[in-house]
Amino acid sequence: MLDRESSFADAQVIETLQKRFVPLALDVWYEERREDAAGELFRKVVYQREGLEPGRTTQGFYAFAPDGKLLQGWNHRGVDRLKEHLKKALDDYEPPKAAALTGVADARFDRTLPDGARIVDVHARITKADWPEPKDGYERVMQAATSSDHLWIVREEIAALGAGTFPTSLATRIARFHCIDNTRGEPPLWEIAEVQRAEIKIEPDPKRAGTAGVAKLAALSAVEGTISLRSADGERGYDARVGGSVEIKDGALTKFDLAIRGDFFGSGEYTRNAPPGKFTLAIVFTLADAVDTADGDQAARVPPQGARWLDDYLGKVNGRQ
Amino acid sequence: MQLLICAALQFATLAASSDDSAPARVREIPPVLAVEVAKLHRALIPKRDEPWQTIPWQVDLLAAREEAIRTKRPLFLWAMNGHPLGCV
Repeated sequence: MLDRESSFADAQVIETLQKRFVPLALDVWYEERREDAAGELFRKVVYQREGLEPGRTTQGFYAFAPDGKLLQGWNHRGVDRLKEHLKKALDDYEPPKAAALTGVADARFDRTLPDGARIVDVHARITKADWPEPKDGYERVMQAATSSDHLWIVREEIAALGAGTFPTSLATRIARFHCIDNTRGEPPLWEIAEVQRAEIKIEPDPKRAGTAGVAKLAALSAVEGTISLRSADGERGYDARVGGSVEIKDGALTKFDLAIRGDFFGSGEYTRNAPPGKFTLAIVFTLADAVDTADGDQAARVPPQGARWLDDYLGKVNGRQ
Repeated sequence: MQLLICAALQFATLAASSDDSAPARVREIPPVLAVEVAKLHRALIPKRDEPWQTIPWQVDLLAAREEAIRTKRPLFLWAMNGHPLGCV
């Protein structure tokens, strides 16, 4: 979040990355684990960084050649430093001879969108809180930050919505993996036992029922619900209401506009410095634009954060394996 | 008389707060109506033309490497725990 609004908002940095580099963004959780050519290349690159020992975070910035030679590697913020590292990486850069990397991709980390599923953009923000006065610009950005994630809705769930039911699997997925305060970093997700309530219902609009007689109109339904979550230690919780509408046309999901708003409290290991006490966390959902999801927008291909544990995310198993 | 009332109120308050079996008062969360849904969508959904989005980020390491070979450019990797283009 900070990098998006600081380093990667600088005109010179943007132009340099657009014209002189091949820019790449990755989640290290996958790359550190995968046993294939991509994982080997990632590890080869990052462990050339000075001072980076196995076991320490590989998060950071890396400029490297296609043969895996590290040109620059660092893990500190600041647009001036970023410009300096980019310049050093380009100085005297000689493209190496590098052959294509072949081999089978590690299927354990394949996060291809399931057939017939839809991608929903999810954004969260703290809209009301007793924040302390920000100490610096970064803290000011953090307090106003809006997060981004994706929700996957599978084919069977779309069919259920079309039949007038908000499926339990979808309500549970929204509660466990998307009712999170991810505005300051990577937050803890909710375990099944921590979901006290995840009830979401849809009420078909009688004027837009989508029946045979009014087949030209898509079926529109109002959404209403209640979500209540508590961590096992009682230190983190969220009590919220759900509102919005969904639309199904010719069996396809054409609208999924939801908003969840309620009282959140607590933080996680990587999301410290939450506002004191209870604060208002709002989360919105809307279908990712069809153009984006074709192949133009690479960001739309980023899997949901909760899909690291794919079978759990999709409700195929109970709990993370 | 006023003192007597104050004392009675204080006693009642203490008695109430010492009763562990009483259910905690939970704020009733008001429903999210259509007007608020629209307002939150306008406020929270980012515009599509934010500066960082104009950078042609790749999300596949090997595909990016192929492009780097083809264009004779170095790669720039932004690596985070949680995808930099999503998650947070």
